Amino acid sequence: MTFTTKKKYCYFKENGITFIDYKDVRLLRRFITEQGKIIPRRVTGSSAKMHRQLVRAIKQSRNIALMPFTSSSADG
Amino acid sequence: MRYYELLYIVNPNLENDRVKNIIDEIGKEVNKYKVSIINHNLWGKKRLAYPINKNKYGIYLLLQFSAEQFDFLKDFERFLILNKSVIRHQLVRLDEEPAKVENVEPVIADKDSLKDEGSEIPNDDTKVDLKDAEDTVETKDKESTVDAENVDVEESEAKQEIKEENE
Repeated sequence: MTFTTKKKYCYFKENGITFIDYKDVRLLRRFITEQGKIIPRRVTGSSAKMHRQLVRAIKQSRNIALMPFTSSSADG
Repeated sequence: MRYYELLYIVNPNLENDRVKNIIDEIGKEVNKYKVSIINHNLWGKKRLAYPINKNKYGIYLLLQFSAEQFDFLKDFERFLILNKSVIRHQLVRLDEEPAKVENVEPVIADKDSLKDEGSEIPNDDTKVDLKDAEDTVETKDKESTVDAENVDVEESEAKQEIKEENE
């Protein structure tokens, strides 16, 4: 049995995104789990630079209630 | 010269006139400090990701401005905190000058505005296409499962929206 791992690429580099806007919920939603947690870089394959930006954007977005902190809080 | 962006949420129970007053009020407050307003747009009533002060919905407003001096921001933020109709605000510094956007006057408390947002996914489609074209046969299986997940998420979202409408 051989383990072939697919090479992961930075989503932002591939699509030429240089600035992540915290208001762009549709984009940010790809990088959180169903529980609302931020998906780690080792899973998404984002570059370190863009991941830092991403984390910041998600947290800003949470602060202004565009994105959830947790999925359960959306129900309450 | 620095550019700033303020996104703030106003109590959803206010009437349209009251909201307009608040927009004027905040515009005046900023103008006190020798700033030039670039955009002051109403996003309309949106569902909050989590309740704030027991409000499920909120009226979002976006204000973008440029400023020569920066020491007024503390006072301005204090003003926003003390303003009872503003339930949440976030002031962010921008690296570049924001583009001017014409306000497409959304009707407050219009549920269609929520729907419109859902249809705004031309970007996503193109990205998926690119991926598919590049993938080898081996990796395609994984990709398809990922896509299926995405679809599931979108479906559940659609269901939620339907629920909201029923409410």
